[in-house]
Amino acid sequence: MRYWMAALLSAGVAAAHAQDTVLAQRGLADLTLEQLANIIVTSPSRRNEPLSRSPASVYVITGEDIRRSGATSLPEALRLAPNLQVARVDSSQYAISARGFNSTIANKLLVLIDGRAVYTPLFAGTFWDAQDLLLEDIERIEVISGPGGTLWGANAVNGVINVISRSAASTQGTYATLGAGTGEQQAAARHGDRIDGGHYRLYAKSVRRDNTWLPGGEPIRDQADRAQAGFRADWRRASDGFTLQGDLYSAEIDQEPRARDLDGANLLARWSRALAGGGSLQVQGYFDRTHRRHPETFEEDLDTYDLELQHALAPRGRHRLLWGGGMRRHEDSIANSAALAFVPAQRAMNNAHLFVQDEIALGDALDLTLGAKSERNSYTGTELLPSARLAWQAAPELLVWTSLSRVVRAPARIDRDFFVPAEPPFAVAGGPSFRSEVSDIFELGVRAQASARLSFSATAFHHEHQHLRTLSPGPDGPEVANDLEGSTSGVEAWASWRGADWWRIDAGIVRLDQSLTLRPGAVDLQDPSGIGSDPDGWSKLRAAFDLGSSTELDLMLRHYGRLENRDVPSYTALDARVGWHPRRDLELSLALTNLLDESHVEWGPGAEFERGAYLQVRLRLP
Amino acid sequence: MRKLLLALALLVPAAGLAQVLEHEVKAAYVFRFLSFIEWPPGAFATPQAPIAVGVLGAEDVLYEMQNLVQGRTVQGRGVTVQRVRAGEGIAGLHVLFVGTRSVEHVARIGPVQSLLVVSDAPYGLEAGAVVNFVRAEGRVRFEVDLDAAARRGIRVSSRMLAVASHVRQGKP
Repeated sequence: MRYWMAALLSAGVAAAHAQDTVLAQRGLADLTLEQLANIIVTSPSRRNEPLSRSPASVYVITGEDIRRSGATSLPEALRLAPNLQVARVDSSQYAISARGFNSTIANKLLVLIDGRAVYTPLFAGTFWDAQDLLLEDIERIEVISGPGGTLWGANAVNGVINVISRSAASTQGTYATLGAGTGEQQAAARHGDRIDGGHYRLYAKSVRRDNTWLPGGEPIRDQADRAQAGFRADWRRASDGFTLQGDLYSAEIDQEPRARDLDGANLLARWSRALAGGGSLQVQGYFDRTHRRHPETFEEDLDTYDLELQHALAPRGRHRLLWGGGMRRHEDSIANSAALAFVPAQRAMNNAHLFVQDEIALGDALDLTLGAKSERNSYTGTELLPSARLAWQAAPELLVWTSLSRVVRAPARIDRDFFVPAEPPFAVAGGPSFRSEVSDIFELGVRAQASARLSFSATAFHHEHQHLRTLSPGPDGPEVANDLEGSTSGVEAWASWRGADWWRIDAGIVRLDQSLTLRPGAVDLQDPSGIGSDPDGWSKLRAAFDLGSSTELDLMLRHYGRLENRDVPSYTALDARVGWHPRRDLELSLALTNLLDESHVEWGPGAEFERGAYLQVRLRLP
Repeated sequence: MRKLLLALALLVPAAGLAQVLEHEVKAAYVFRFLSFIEWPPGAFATPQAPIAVGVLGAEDVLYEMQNLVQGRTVQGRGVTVQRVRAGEGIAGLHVLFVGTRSVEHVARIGPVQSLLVVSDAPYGLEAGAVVNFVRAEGRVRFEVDLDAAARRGIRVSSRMLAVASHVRQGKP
């Protein structure tokens, strides 16, 4: 493993030297026209052109969408994706999922921030209360609903969220923002400049969220204070790119009996090179340290080391080959309590993976993509994640596609090593033979740019699940097992209509139908909400208006069906935002939430969210 | 095939193949064009007056250019970049970049003099643009219509024409 990685690295470096690297260096604006004409543009930047060709259910949230939405946190920004179910639980916790199985410890969605998996091996998901970034630095968020195992690995079962930040060159100068409203206050600043052949930015932000209340008026005691700072630096010469970035954060979130503390730091380096002929090579490594202390319950220290390589070969004949591999190591140390225990308290988890994907042009309009990833984890050994995708360009603006994939959700600490309470008899005991959950997934989709003003996407999907997590009677109490199976079927569709240059409407709808049954003879002792809490559908509608040259108005309506196993009624919420630009470098905005009703809950048990307002100033200095 | 590569690029892990984004290259191009355009003497109020660039229907290019021009001068002038909305006055602009989905506005600009119109669409030159971006082999190239330049009273330097993927002159 180490050998091939070293071999590839040196091959890449040699290639880099072979090419003309005399080009300088201070950014694209300093390149000559000839140099610009030779840059290989390897990634899409516009939504309609590349998306219309993508054989998957992908929705892209742009930085501009986020700005106009008035979102103040990453989970709130994710509400913009029609294919995501986002439920706010309290001041800082969210339950987020695609295609069902939603929970605050949802385990079938993979989230990456600039290529760094914000993944906890405790439950194979994301601690949303620990994730934040300066929203204004986000270039786009790619939300893929459906399987992504072949490229992203185990746990990308129902979806992948890729948060991609702007390059440092795109965030030059000084920027400051201040916002205050019911329930939340924020201040943030960023400064970007040149640095020795490249660009950098530094940012810092602080957030305070007030207590929330349960329906009926009982305070939840979840006031949160958070501070975060970070940087990103990019260097680019001709077709080489090098990025170094990192973040540092600390948060204190109130709870019973005493506030929990979260802090962490990460550092990531990425080198990439666009190869002649249309190939590319990328090597990325990061280190991520998190610490989480829930007083009297547990305390966790986690270090993550990750190194990966990816090589897209120049097209050869009818084939386009992409391959890559990587290694990740999690080392955690947990301080257990009488209430719960992870055994062993320290664990090192190694994960190694290798994938290959070939895209074969079967004809002028027909492409077949075959891929497989082999991934080795500490619990179940090697898992294979294959997929096949067929894309038919039926007309220049109409893509019809279908896919067949197998994905697994590999075990986490919570499945194998978790005991409640710490001593028997247990209410929950880790299952020593708990195996990976498996999903076989079929998708059929269309995507079209019907006219210059109207585009749409629709996907029908069917997921066959095996070995889903249950609790069976065990020798010392209920034990984690794999006795549930069944299917999830549904459709997700969205459209964007730009009626005129000054207004646009985006609408999306998702329908879900889940049917799960126990294996014959099996018993499940967990609450029905344990496997997930999903509505039978939701819909989102967004309208954006430019009123004159300096004012913008945005309306966002969403409707969610009821969450039966959490006793959460269906709800409809309308948010609005008015933005005003008295000067080019100044923006004032007022965002209003929950305009339709006095209050609603999105999760149970969870906070009740009332009508709210948030006033924000954004200032750009040269 | 090129489009399939784009699709593939979208499916690889975050920032996978993404290093140089298309709109960044276009913004850099528009900025570099300024050095190779000769406007008539009356186009600027004073010898120090900045070159005014307007961007219509391309927020990403607008944002990129606003960052990129900071602290830079071209032909001894500063550069300003502003958002232009459809139907708004374009008086005082020296350059207008029109995004892909707004290409129909190119034809509606009218005989405005001293304006470099840059478009980003398959039939940009037919619509009346002076410079139009095209994609070729994964790269962003541009084509120039010299008749359109002459009609607007601007001159395009031969150094810029040498890099153009196609130069159009003397329409049939």
